[in-house]
Amino acid sequence: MEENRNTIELDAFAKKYVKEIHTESPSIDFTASLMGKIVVEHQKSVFSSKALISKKVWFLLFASLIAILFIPFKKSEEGLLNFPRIDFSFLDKIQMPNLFENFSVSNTVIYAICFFGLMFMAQVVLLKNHFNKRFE
Amino acid sequence: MTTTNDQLYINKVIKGDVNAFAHLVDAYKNMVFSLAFKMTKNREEAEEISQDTFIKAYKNIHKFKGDSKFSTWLYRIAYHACLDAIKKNKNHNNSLEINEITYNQIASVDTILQGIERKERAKVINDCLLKLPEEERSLIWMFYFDELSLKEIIEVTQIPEANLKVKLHRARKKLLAIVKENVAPEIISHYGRK
Repeated sequence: MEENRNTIELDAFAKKYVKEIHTESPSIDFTASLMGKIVVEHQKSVFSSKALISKKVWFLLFASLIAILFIPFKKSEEGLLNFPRIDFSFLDKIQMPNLFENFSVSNTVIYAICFFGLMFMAQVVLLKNHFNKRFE
Repeated sequence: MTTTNDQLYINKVIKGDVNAFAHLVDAYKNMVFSLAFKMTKNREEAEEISQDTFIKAYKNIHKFKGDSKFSTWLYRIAYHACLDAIKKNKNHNNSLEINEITYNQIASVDTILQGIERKERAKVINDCLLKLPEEERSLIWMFYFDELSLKEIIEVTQIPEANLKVKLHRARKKLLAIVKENVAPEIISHYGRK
């Protein structure tokens, strides 16, 4: 009871005197200089919103990459589409020394790298959410 | 919850009217700057933090959903920007020895303060407030000066309610102790001069 009364008194004390403090004002040209920076930000966002390679182009590039990789291995003679055959035999003619012949990686290392990658990706998602929440 | 005027300007900004943002800046620059100045105790730093706060707010204005007041949302950005600046600048003096105060001293401190001219009193209280550690200083400022509700302070600081109440109570007690320590010798010297 006594504690409660004291808390109320203390609250009234703070309320009475803190409100008397004057607000601080920034410099006179605060708004003007800030708006200058914001206009620059706005222009930047206008320019950066246009991606150099659009999603449509990325899709086409990806699709054509898949096509180039898989069509030559297609065994059947008849397909829905008759693409011109690409001869990849020239790849056999290029004789490159195999630098990684004696290089072997243990399963544990592979698992560790995969796990690291997984955790890294999880962190990216978590951090993105965390920073986004700050502005909600 | 946001005032209609704020929402009007926010909508204009989202639609691409950059100049509408200047109205929001003018409406809230003193609030943001005062908080930053109270937290950092440095005018230049406070100005820089205020500018960063408004730039961040501009960039993320499309994320403002209107669930809370625009001022609370802005306050949250400013508070975290201040914390980041304080973390970067380790020169801020946070250690302060405060003597325990008994509640029956409230009345005597109050009497002393009433004897001081209002303008002078505001300066004394401000100086005392600046002697509090950053977190407690900002809580007192939010609760008593800007009159944010507990719910709003929780939203800004992310401090759990029970913890916040304890911190606020401790901050009030510390403020009273500092005022008592600073005001008593001042009054003695004041009367001594007469």
